[in-house]
Amino acid sequence: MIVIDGLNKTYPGKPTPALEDVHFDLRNGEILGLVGLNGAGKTTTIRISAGVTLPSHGQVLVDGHDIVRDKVRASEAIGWVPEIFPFAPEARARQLLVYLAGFHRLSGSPADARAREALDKVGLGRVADAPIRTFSQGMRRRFGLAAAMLSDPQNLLLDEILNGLDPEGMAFVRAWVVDLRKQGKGVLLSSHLLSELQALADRVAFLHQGHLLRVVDREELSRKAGMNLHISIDNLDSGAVAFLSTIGSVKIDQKVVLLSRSSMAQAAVTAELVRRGYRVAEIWSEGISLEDFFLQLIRDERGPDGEGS
Amino acid sequence: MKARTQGPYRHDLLRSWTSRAVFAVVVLCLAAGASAVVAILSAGGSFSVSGSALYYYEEGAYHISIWAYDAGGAPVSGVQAQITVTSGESNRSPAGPYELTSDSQGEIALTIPTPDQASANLTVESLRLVSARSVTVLWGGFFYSSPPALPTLYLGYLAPGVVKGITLAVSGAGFFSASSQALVFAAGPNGTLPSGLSLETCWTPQIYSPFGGRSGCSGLPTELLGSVTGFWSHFPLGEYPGNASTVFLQLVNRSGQILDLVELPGSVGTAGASFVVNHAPGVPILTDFAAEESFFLPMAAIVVAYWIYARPRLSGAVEPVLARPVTRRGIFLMRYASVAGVLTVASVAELSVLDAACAGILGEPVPTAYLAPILGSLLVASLGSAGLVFLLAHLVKTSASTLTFSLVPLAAGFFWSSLLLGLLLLSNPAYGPGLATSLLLPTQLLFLPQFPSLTSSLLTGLSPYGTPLGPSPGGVGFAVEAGFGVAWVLVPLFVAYRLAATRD
Repeated sequence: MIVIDGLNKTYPGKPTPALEDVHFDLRNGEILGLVGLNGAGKTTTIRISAGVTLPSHGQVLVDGHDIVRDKVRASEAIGWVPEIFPFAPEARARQLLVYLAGFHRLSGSPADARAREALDKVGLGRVADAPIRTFSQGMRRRFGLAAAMLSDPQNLLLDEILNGLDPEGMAFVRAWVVDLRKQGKGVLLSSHLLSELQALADRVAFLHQGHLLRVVDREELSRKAGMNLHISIDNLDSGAVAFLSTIGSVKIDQKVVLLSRSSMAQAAVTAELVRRGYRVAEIWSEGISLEDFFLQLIRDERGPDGEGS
Repeated sequence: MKARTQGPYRHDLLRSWTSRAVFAVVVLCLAAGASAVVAILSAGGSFSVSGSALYYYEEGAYHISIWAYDAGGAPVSGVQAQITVTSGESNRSPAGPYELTSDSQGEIALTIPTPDQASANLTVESLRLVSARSVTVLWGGFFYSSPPALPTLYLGYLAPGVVKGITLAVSGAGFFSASSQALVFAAGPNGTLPSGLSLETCWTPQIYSPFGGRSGCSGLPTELLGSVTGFWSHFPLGEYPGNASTVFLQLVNRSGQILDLVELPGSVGTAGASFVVNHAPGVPILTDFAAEESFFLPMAAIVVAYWIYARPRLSGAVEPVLARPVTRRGIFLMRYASVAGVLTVASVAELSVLDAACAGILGEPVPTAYLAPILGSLLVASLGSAGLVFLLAHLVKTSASTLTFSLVPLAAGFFWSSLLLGLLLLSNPAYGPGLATSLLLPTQLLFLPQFPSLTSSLLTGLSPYGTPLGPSPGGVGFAVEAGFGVAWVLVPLFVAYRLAATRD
């Protein structure tokens, strides 16, 4: 569990604060989406929570431990996956993981075994000894996941990790995150892919220009930003219906399936159906999207005259 | 399987010590060590010696002998000597130069036949010794000259069969061993045997050293000359402590009047023997060593501090570490400790190379009293430079800026003494090394790479320009240097530590 309490951050030389009095919490066994435009403060919030950046004011409590004053205890319960994993140019994947495992009191063959296991999990086992600089963007993201898996932390901070992933990678992350939730871990997931968050998150925190606009739970989200998908499938059969039933409520009208409360985004549903050999003739949504909801929140924040509150 | 545990900070420390930066430091140290050896070899390679050696005239020839020893008193073979001898009265005497080499006893023996010139006056115009090792030269004879140097040794007139003066000769066991023997020549009036004379042997702890050194003199037992038969004889010298290097023999009569002596070094207007080495090779060796380390060690410090701390911090590569169960302070201190450890080992290794090279090549290691100041100055130059890199890593934004701001002071510091002299000469050609010396020492405190050079000057009493320092050169002594050195190391480190703990 992470409690973010009155978090402020002003970077030297910057006139406006990156974060101003931000409060929210991440509970155990939930996925909390973090949404905002560029510069909203998502990454700053995550970096401060990870102990990588120092707050100007306020505090972050990780399982009751202050990330600044009680850093070691707090960091034991944190796994951080940055958007771009920083590494030395000469670093090799397994070597770097073994080194990082050392900070969790693992060395020698246990550290090596843990590193190999993590790399295998994210599909990088075959390139374990390759320099990370030779990895593609997607592979680097996977490597970041492997680094976060080393210590099996209670709380995961995932910063835009869905960006640049191929469909297979996204499916992996999706499954991993859902599995973490099942294990009772807390996952803070920032993303620009609002449809993904809509499908995954139990709650969504909306940040704008360093301020927290709102935190909305899944129920309110589906109520306000619920989305129904209409899917026209040429070769519709019981297999397609069975699959769609696993990700939402299904109603069938001739060859058009009405999918509501989907746990997958529109693009992901299309991709999965195509992968399973179905010809998707048309797919469209109705209802307001998370994106529309977010933009509405921003408009509300700015007020009727366009000024920020 | 139970996981082996190891503290995270120790883990980080060990990781730093296996980084490529340490390899770079090892390479730099090897280069510096090799450079030190070359410097010592070149400094010990040539000694110009003024004077001559044992000489006597006998059987139609002059005989001149020179003995070469190392600082430990062991004979040195293979020393090349070039002796030029000319006649003081006419051109009928033989000249030179004579090219000779010392034998296994360290003796360089020259015989100059003068079959029909028994009364010739000879002058040794020059004597030059060339050796790969530091050499002490002993010679004796009756000469007329004044110290400090004897560019010309006038042998004077010797009647056939006459040997004048007293001279030391040394047996194969070496001059300084208890079993040494002295070959003593003494002549009475008109070449008669001496009688009623005694020979006093004195020992002085004035130790010849490549690095200089001064001390007093104490007496040794007196030997009666009654046992001496003929014009020369061997008899044991007294038991001398340790590394005694200066012995003088006095020929005295019954009333205690000194008739002749072998005095080391030679004194004004006194007949005797002496040795002169024009310069103690340790001084230029220390100066060269300090100049080299002014570059190598700060450069090694910049490389290793940049690699272990600045680069990971500025590239963000340290962030995955900071996200682990460690503190910023802990990582800062541990990485500084690893850098300091590497540089301390490098400094000790450099000094050990110098010490071993001096012992092997000069025959004497660096004086013990010198070791701590030299090591201290090396640590100031290296740890101070590393601390600046740590500080810069928190003050600038890029790796390139860190390197630039680190290397500029290194270059300025490395060239400072030359730069100062050049600027003075440009401003007024009358300004020379003397003024530069008085200005140099205080300003050396402002440049980290100058600390080894400053220490070398304070130890040897000579500036890098070769000029002697006064009693309190520019108000700078070891205490002032140590104070500045500690400040150079601790202040940047403390500021960097504060920044590391309180700023991103």
